[in-house]
Amino acid sequence: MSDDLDPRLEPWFRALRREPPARADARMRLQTALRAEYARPARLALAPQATLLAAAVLVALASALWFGAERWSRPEAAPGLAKYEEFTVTQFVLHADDARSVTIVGDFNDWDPDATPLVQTEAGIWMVDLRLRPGTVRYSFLVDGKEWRADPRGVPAPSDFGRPTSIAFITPIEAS
Amino acid sequence: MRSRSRLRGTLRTISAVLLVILITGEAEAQDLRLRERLEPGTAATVIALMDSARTLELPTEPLVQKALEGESKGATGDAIVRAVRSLIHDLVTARKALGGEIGEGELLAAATVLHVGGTPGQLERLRLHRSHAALSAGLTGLAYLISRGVPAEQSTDLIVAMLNARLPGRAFATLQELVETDVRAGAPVTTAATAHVNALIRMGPSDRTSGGRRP
Amino acid sequence: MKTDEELIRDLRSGEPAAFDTLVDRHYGACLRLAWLHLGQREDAEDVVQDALIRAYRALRRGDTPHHSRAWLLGIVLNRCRSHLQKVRRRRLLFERWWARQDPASLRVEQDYGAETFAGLDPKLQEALSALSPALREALLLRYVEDLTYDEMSMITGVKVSALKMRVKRATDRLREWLLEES
Repeated sequence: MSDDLDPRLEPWFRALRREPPARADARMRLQTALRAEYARPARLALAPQATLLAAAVLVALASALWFGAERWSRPEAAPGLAKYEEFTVTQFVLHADDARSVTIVGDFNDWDPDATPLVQTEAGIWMVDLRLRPGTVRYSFLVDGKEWRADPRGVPAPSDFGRPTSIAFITPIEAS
Repeated sequence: MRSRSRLRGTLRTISAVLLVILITGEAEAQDLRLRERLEPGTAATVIALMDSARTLELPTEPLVQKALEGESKGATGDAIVRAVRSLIHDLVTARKALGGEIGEGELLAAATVLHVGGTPGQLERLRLHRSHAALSAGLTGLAYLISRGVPAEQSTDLIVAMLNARLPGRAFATLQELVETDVRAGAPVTTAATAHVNALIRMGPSDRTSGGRRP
Repeated sequence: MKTDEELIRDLRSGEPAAFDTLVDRHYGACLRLAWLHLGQREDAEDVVQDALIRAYRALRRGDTPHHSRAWLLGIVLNRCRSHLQKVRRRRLLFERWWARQDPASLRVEQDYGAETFAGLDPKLQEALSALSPALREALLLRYVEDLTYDEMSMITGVKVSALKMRVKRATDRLREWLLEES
């Protein structure tokens, strides 16, 4: 069977054979990645004893990580790990003259109504500073343990559960 | 040569075991938090949804937070399950719209864009900037502008303009601070956002576009 | 101008930047193959970058391809296959899972608009997308990249006879779609 392309299809394939122009930012990304490859040293050959030692260290690390997994899943409960994450301090304020207690409940404390109380700094003004990871954070205030309030100074969030909710946007900033 | 390939094989096996240990450990911790707070039937359904999410290679911590939010606010089991399923759908839709292998931060921010009223088509417009270091900041900024009330398409125009100008992440933090100040002073949000974006672009990528407080 | 083989020798003699010249020479063809196969420019750029880094590592390790252009395109093709498998698996998993959750609300996922290949006729783009990945691969390698069947067999792992059948079937489908429809 002849393998030549049907001449009637040739004009279509002429279009396909055009090499597309490369985009500058794609080529730049490629160059950066290749430079990193060029700079990589030749792989180290490990002696068998060193291999066993490396394996033992890795297993010990895995065990430590496994038992620490629960703490890792609650970042605010593991401040010692802060050096591995970027945190931004954000202040939350609520004016509530009639309140006896105010807490803030949100994605950062497993929505625990009692975990994060605000402090009354002067009559009717409740405040707390929180260290939050970059991203979007949903939260609400809970007044006297029963009344849910959105943050009047904050950005309203779509309410999934019929209670007033706010959303904070902690912008991720590249490390300098 | 043979000992090198044996070493490579050994290290690969150890890495695979480590990965299984880490993933299993994290999954168990998440399941425990849900079982402690949710009614048993709801917990079982949400845990099953999370297993599906893991199979789909989606982050699961946001699903845990969504379920705990519902429990905290006294929602019914059905409402909690609906909200978790909806979030999974947003995550998948966001990943498809942005394409490629985007990071978890970008994926979560993109899902938030959809949740607050953005469309997959609007996320698609940011696809070109998938490898931009400030993409996550851009997506967070987009979610912020839409939430604040700037029409979604216009919000996307503004954010795309900032990304095209190669502004760094802190420029998006600065934008938010400036818009918030104006909004609290009573200025219309779209006017404020447009003016500040234009100003930031004119300033260009520099140290003056610093914003946000750092510990 | 140095041949590909000479550049590879330079690379091994401690001039990694000789690879830059290889990249300049073949990037266009790699991007063309990936873009036509995947249908999306951004995915194609990612896949080509991944493929070229793997090619560099392989050359540094000591791989000695006989036909460097075909070999490079073979790596690009493998990365395209992995990408398509992953995307397909995720889509199937999701659709199956979503249908179990709430069959009434199963949404047909839209294929969002993507930048078409260098001003390609949408009809041709559609015709290519309609081919199965296996047929599309064979067609592109034969009539766009102009590889011999032996080269194609080397990089795809498919027998020459099967490749000829795939090329014929793909061409027949394209003929129906592009010529007989109009």
